[in-house]
Amino acid sequence: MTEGVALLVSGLAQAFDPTTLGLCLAGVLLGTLVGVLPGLGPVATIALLLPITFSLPTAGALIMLAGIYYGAQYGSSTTAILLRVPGEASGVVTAQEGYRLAQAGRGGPALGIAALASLVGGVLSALALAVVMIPLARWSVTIGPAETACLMVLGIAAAVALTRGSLTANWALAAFGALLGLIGTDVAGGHPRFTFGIPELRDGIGFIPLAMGLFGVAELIRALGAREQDSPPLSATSAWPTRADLTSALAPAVRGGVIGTAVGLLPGASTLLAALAAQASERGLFRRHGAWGHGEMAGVAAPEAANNAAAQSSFAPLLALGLPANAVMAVIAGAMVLQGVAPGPAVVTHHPELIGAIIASLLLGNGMLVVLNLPLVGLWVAVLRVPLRWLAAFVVVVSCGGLWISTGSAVDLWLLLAFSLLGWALLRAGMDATPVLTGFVLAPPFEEALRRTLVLARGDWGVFLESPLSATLLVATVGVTGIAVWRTHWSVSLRPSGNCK
Amino acid sequence: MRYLQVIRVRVRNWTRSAVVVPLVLAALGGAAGVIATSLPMLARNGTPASGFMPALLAGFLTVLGLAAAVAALARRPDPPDRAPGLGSRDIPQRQEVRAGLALCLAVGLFAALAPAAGLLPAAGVAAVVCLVATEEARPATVALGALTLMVITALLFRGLLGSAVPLFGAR
Repeated sequence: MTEGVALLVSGLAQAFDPTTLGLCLAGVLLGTLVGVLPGLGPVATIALLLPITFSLPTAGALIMLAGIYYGAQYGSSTTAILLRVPGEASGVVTAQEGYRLAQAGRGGPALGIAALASLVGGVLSALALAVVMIPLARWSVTIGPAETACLMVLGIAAAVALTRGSLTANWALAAFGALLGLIGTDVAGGHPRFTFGIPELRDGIGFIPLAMGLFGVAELIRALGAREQDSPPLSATSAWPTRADLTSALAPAVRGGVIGTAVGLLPGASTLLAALAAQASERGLFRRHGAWGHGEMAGVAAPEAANNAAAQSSFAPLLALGLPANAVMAVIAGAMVLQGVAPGPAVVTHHPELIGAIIASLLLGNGMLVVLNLPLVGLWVAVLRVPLRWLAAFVVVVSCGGLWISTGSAVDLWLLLAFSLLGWALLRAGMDATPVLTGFVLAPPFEEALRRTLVLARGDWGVFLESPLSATLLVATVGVTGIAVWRTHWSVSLRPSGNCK
Repeated sequence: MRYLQVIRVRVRNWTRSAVVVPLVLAALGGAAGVIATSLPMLARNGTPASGFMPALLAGFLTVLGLAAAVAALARRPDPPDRAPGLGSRDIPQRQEVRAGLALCLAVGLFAALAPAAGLLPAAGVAAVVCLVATEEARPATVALGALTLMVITALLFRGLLGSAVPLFGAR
């Protein structure tokens, strides 16, 4: 507890540095913009911005990327409430009650409650991170390579199970991503793998072209392909909620923040899952009260607090265990590696100042979001009217330029083209690219942990079942996969038959 | 013959991508498996060598890719809204194909032009191609947009980030 406070205090000192503050502000503003724009999510934006973060200090770069993530959660609520067009998946939950409120002329107070609930969720989550991070990292350094390998398998299994779509296809995509991660010279054996004599591939495939192609360009194609939304009328109402609104929303916001924080700590969980869990708990607890389905303020407060809290607490598995909880965290893990900081327990033990700065910036960034965004609602709606092809041209040119100047290699640009085509193909097939990225990020450290385990055990594979922790993790992996199989079967059996009209 | 016809019909409709993509992944897995067999599988102490993980993953990918393709074929697709060519679903699909081709072409042209002609010609050509990604593009707007983006590119990468990359000509 004391360590957590010390971490937070040292972090606050760093976070108040003018450059860091500026980057945090840029991140939350950009994130809000991204959240407002349907189609260009935080994964795509963070992936597209990776080349620009090269020239930034490590803490500043990560703070900016984190700001984009939780700023996007806030921005998504703006369009979800006003236009019923969520910019992010988690905004779907907010839209249910929020849009009803907007239709009833209470869009302004709903936006105000969304902002304040996000602040509550964000603060709760940041404080929880400060308390949890050091014990979690300390525990994680006591585990050996066998447990590390099993933990990574669990991480991949959880990511695969929680990604939408066919479980078999998701596992295939994770295996494909893992194969991509193994391209390059094998460090242990010295053999080049799948390099085809291309010198640029000896160090492996770059993370940036992979993430930019699979998420950035593919998302732009999807957004451009969709029909443009008609410009809806917006009446500028006051954003300030009444005292009664605040009273009714406070407890749901706190509960949503707690649920979101807990859900975000789980590897593979998403902000959508957190928002759904918070909404379900509110509806379950207070079904007979309130005006569910007709515009209930708790239906905005709980999911907004939950999605923001989950977005932030998902940093814990990444920073303390090296496990990216979702696609955004996988991209941020790549950004950390590019900055020379490998995610995992070593970050907490060797770079506590970095962790402190990130946690403190979460507190500041949430405050910035509330202060800055309420007056900007009109501006965000105006940005929605910018033709998407202009935005797409800007993003493609700046991304290609950034990749070209950062690596100086045309091979990376050709890889970007290949992964853009792959991302588009996955989009057409209704497949989510997240498992590719998870497999890509986790395969090399998994291979290393596997080798170390077997070297220490002299080739005995039974070592994975000897340690209680690794055995538990393997059982958990089987359990997660089993639940996913059962869920798929259950949803199929509930689906009406194709012959029924 | 009847089974072939069923497969042909199902492959023609909207599930085609859901079948083809896993098949391509399976083929890539097979190819990776063949390449991986040329690498050493186990070290002397019985621990995995360079080819072990790639071979294992390639095997997984082949099996899972085939299984996913079969599962996609077995799924009964939703009936289309209307007949092909007349349905409301056709317009977004046509727009998506146009957008996809334009954006991928833009990236490819940038990759081809940047090393030989420099940053600004590559940015200009890529911008033009992106701006015609949707049907409502007009020549004057496209030209103006491309010029604006070239200026922004120069200001961003040379002015703000201080990159030494040549604006015109080979690196």
